[in-house]
Amino acid sequence: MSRRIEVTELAGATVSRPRGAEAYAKLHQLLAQGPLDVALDGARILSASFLDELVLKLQRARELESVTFLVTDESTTRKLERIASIRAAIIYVQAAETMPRHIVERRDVHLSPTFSSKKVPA
Amino acid sequence: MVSLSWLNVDQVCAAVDFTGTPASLDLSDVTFFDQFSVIYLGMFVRYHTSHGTTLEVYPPNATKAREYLARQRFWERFNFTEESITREKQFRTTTGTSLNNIIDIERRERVGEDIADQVQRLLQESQARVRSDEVAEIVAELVENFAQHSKGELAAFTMQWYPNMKRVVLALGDCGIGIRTSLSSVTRYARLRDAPHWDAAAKAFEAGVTRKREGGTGLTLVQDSVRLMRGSMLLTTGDGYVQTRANGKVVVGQMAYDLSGVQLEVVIPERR
Repeated sequence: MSRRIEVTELAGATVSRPRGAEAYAKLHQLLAQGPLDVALDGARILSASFLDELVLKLQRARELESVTFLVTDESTTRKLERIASIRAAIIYVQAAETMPRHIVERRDVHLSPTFSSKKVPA
Repeated sequence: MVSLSWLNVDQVCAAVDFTGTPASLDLSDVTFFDQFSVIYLGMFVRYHTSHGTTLEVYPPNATKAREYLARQRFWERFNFTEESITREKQFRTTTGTSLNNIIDIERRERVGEDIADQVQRLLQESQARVRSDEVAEIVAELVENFAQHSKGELAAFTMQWYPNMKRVVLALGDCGIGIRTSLSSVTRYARLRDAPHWDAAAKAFEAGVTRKREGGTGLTLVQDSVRLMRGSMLLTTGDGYVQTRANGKVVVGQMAYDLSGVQLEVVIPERR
C-alpha cells in the first residue's frame, strides 16, 4: 500500500522550477522506501512550472510509475494533462482513495499564429 | 482626448523625436491609461533614462490622468536607475481594486509567490468573480519568469480589477534584452537573430523552447490557462507582438515602436 504525502511537505513553496526540483529531491529519497501518493489539492498556489519540473525529474529518473498524484481540482488536472502531452509522460492520478489510479489523458493544443497587419482589441 | 492602450501607446513612443535636446514625450492629450500602456510607457522611460537620454515630458492636461500617474509616482518610479530604488518604495499598499499600483519585481527568492499572494488576497477580499487561485498561479508563473529573465533592469507588475467592465487585468514588463536576443544567444535558435521580433515571440510560446537546458513551458502553460478562462493575452517584444484572443485565435504582428524587453498583458473576464 502506498504512503501519502502532501505536496506542501516536499518544498517550501509550490511555485517555480527550482522549488519543483527541491520537491523532487525530497520525493526521490522517500521513494527509496516504496511508492508514494502525492496529494496536490492542499497547495494554495501550485504553479505549472513547479509541476512540470517535478514530473520531468521523476520521468528522467524513471520514477513516475511509483508516484500517484491525488488530485480533484480540475485546473490542476488540466495542467497535468498538458504536461503529460508536452513531456510525453505517463502520469498516474487518482481522484479519491476509493477509486483506482489511472493514467492522465494527454491534452494536445496546437495553436498556429497568423500574421495580421492591423492591431485589433482582443 | 486619447485613451492609451496597446493599440496606440507604441505610436506615442514612436512619435518621440530623439534628435531634439531634450527628447520630448507628449502625453498632454491622454485622458486614460490602461494597465498595459502604463507599463509600456514606464519601460520606455526607464530604458531611455538608463541609456543616458534626458526625456522632457508633457504631462496629461486632464486632471484625472495626471493624478493617476502622480499617485503611482510614475516618474519617480521609472525615471531612475535600479540602484537608487529603496526597498520601501518597491511595495505598495493595496486598495479595493488594485495593488496601488505598480510593484517592482526584484530578483529574489519567492518573489513570484509573494506577489501572487497579494493578488490572491486582494481578489478574495473583493467581489471579483474570478478563480483567485488560478489568477494567482498565472501571476506567480509570470513574475518568476520576469524575475529570471529581465537582466539588469527591474521588471514591474501591476494588477487592476475593473468591476464595471467585469475583468481583471494584469500587466508586466521589463526593458531588458527581449526574447529575440535571449533565444538567439543559444545555437539551436541562432536563426532567430535575423528574424522579425514577432517570429521570436511566437517561438517563445512553443512548448520546450528555452535558452536554458530545461524548462520552456511557462509561457505555454500560462497561455493555456488564460485561454481556458476565456481570457486574452498580449506579449510585445521589440517591435513584435503575439496576441492570444479570447476566441483562442493567436495573431502575430508588428508594433510601431521597437522597445527593448518584454511587455505583457493578461485580461481575465469575470464569470457570469
